[in-house]
Amino acid sequence: MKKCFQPRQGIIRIEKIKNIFVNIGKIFTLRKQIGGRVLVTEVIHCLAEKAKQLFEIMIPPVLIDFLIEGKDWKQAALYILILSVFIPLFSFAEEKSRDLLSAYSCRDDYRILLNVKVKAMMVDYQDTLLAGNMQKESRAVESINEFLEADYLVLHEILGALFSMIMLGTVFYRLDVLAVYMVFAAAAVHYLLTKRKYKNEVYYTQLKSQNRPKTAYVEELLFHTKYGKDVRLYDASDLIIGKYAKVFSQNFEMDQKSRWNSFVLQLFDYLINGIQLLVVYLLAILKYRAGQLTIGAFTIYINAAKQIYAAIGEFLDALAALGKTALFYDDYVQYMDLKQTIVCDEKMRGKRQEKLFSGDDFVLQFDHVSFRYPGSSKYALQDICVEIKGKEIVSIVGENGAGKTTFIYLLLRLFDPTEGVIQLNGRDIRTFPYEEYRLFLAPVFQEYELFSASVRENVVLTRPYVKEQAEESYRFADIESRIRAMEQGDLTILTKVLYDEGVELSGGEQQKLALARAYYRKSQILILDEPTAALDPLSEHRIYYNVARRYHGTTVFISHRLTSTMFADQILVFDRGRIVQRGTHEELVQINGIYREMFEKQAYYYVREN
Amino acid sequence: MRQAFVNICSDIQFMLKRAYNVQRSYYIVAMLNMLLSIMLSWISVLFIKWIVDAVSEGNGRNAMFCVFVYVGGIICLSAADAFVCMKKANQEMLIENQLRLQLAKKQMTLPYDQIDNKKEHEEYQFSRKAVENGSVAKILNNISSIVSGVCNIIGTFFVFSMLNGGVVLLLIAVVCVNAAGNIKKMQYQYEQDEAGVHIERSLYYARDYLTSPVFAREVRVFGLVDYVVARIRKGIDNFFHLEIQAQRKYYRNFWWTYLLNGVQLAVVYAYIGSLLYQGVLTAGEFSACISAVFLFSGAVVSGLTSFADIARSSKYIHALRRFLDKSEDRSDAKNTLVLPANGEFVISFINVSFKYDENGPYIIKNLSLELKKGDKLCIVGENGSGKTTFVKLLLGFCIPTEGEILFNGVSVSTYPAEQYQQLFSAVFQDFNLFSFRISENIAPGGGHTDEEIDRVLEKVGLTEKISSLRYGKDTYLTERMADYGTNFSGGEKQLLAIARAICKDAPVYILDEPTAALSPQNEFEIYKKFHEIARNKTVLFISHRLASCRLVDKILVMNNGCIVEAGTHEQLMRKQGIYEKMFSAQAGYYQD
Repeated sequence: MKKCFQPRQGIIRIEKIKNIFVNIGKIFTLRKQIGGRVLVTEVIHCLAEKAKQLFEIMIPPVLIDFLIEGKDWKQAALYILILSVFIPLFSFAEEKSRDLLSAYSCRDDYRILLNVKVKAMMVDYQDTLLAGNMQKESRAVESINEFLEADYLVLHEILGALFSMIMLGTVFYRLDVLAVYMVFAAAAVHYLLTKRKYKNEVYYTQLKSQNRPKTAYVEELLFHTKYGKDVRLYDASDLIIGKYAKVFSQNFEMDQKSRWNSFVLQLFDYLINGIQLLVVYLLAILKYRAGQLTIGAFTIYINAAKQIYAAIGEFLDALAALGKTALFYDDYVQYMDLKQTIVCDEKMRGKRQEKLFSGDDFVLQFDHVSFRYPGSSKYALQDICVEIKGKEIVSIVGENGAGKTTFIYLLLRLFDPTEGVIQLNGRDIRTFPYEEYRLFLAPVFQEYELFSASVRENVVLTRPYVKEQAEESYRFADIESRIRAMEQGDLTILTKVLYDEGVELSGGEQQKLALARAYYRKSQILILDEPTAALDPLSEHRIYYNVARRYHGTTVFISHRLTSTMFADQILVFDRGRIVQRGTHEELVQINGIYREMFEKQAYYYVREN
Repeated sequence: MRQAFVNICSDIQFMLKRAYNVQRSYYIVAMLNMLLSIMLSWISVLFIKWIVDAVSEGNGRNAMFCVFVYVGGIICLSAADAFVCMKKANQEMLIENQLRLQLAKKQMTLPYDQIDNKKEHEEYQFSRKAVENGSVAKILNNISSIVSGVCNIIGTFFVFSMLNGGVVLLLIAVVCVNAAGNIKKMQYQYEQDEAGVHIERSLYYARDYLTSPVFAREVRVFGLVDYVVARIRKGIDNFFHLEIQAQRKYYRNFWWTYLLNGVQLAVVYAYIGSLLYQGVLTAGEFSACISAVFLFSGAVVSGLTSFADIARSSKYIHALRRFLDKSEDRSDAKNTLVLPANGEFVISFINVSFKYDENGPYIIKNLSLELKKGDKLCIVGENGSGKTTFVKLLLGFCIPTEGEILFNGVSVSTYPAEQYQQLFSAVFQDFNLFSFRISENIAPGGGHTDEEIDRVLEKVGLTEKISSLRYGKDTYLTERMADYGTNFSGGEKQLLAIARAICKDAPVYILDEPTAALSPQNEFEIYKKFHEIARNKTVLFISHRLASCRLVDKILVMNNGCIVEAGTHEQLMRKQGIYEKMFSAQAGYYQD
């Protein structure tokens, strides 16, 4: 558990200025890539805000001078008019641009998030199973919000502050040199405090985001009703609440510490601010007594000093914040730069891919392939040598956990072998572009997923839609009549997640649909992992008949239903990561071995007399 | 309108009461916070006036003194305020968490049919929204903001009544004008929120679910990245477009508020300026008045905005309250379930019919059945014949639409669901395991010793696999909750689910496709041990593996929601009906 909480090395070290600017530049580029039209709005917002502030500060004191002791009321009236016309105007411009910016910001946030999600979808499959990977992704996601502000910061805060400083500088220089030094010194201390504060914030944000996957999981357990049956039957509510409470108290502790640190730094900040204020007032009073200021000017200078301090403070705060965003950007980059061994060519994505070759004249070879899961010391597969020829039916059997599904994953290139080579027609499959290689295969996974879209979309996916082909797939998967019974046929929406009128299919029907999906691809190899586990005997019979008799391509399937091995050209028996037997059903059933044992055990209840 | 106001007030009351229950000191902290912020906003107004007046009167020493007190005051008040804010934020987090836990606990203990329900679903989603991250804190802050707004307003009135009667009238006019504008804004916002719900849901679905590890394999092997990206992009663009439209519409409808603002500004400055001109106010008082007027109007606006914010959350809070008020027991659940001394019981289905939807088809039609202690039954049937729904009815997860289910002659709905469910150990077709320790998965409710768990693991044949793991049965399943975890194969997960059922050791076992993912050896072992596992138990199998029918005394064939055949294996084979057809289809392969 402790390992989770180790922050990255870079957090405590303050980033070099150059690195900050490099990162900021990259953030700007990223922003430009994903959206535009924000610059103008930001400028407008900045100007409107500053102008409004300026008018609000500068005009009332001027009014005082005009009105006091019955002086020029006409001029005063003019200024009042200016105030009441321009301030609402500036308010309008500021608020409208702020709302627009918020909408753009939200959109851009999602777009960068999309980048992260795309990376998550393209990262090597074996990496998605690792805790460390989940945390990296989570940190990248959390960081987006933090670094997206960079261009806003640069433009708005820095430019705005500079603007204020310039405007007020004209008034300010009349104040004492001492006062100037005072304000700058105070601002410098404030800057250091702010930097400390941001360092603290960064640290805790990154820590918390590492905990995010856990938090998300326990919250799902707490609130998702799908766990309801098991939770009630097995009295699991206290266990789940306990786990949640533990995660919450970890998060809470981090929040508390973070807030406390901020508070302590804030105290010093108030002190500095107070001292600065004191000096300015005293100096202003002295100057007034010396007759160097009118009462109106007195107010102006007090306010001006406050504004200068605030403006310098804003400027330096923005610089510190830039440092912070640069650090968060590193989290993003770290995830986006994750090495991928199974790479999809960016340029090829989206183009209609042609198959590697057509026809069933091929040989797929596993040449002394071994595989170990990352972080595991045990081999899941050892020294696998297999040859699969076109049009063959290959059946894979073996104990649970013997490595059958892992074999399939290697075939699909969800994993790459740790040792050995998989070859297609003599060529290492790693040399094929992945988006071409995968067209070669069509899988039905043991835990298949359907999503909220029409039946047709779930089956056809990204292939072009051809009516006859779709109907052929439905027939093959024995689901044609079920689809015809639906109100909108194959345009009916599946699942009720997004649409109330969606349809929830039974387990068996879902499995058939997954089969239709694989069939539709018209790939050279059909890969089935327990394709009939949820099907009733008659449906099962029909499916196997279709696979054995009607499908003329290559099939590789895992099944515990040994009936399916009858028509296989090659049966591979797995045991503890190795292939211990191979042959046809007739051959294997003669030998005293694992296969025969399995077969007899399964047949036992079917053939014995009562 | 009036009703809405009353509702919102009762929501506020609800929130405050809950907050108090969790953290007694929250009220004090919140009030201190308000007091400090009010003082902070007033200290500048007052002291600036005094300082400016003292300076213009030439009273240097007085002015210096004021400055010292002012600065000292600001430092102390700010520090205190920051401290109080920190405590408040911490407490708000705790309060929110408590509410969340209350909702979760309720969700997990309510009778299942009340959760698994299309009608209740939306209300439940609303309740969840009421306790999502930061929402409770937001509501509590809004409440504080309303209260401090009111205090500010009273304070300003007080101050001004001392200064000048005319200004008070001015203030009232300002209030009315601001209020009218803001109320209209409130109504408008409320209507706008409804429109975007579906678009938001589609976006979140694509963004979160389609990119989750659940789809990871399909995405890679079927090349779905572009498809998912397109869906997310569409969601983003729709969402953005909706937002921009809403903003445009808002500004089209409410541009006049800015005009109004300008008029207000002019009137206020003109009036107070004229007072200064006439010498009624001093320069210091002028500044103070201006600040105070805008402080006042700001307080009114922020108070109304906070109220509007609470109004928008109102429907979520209402849903939350309704949900939390639900009773865990059915209204007629007065009996206590007691097994007779000899353990004999009968569960009877009497003409039970069931449909999920009012307008939907009947899933179960006029089903009658008796399940006695010691019975060993197997239910078979084609996909969609209603087997799983039958199981849910038996377990009390669904309530019959017609007919009744009796336990020892008494209607099952008169027993608290918790007690009734003690009778059953079940492995569902779509069972769920948790990403916790293996031992925690086997005995989630606790109360089992290490030896008992080891024995159960041995019964299902997982001992060897467990001992090969780094932490044995304390190893976590997957790495979602731990730095190190193991991934079980489909069959191993199923064995774990069976182990869990055996560990509970209830009188009735319900096994829905328990061996679907098991290897022939494992399946055989389970069947072989079945008599040992099921000794003295009542067992209900649902299985497509008709081999399991050889283990039981009676087989029921379901079709279209009814029981169409019943009998022993031999009887049904002779009958040559559906059962015979299915069995022959499966057995044919083995009888070479």
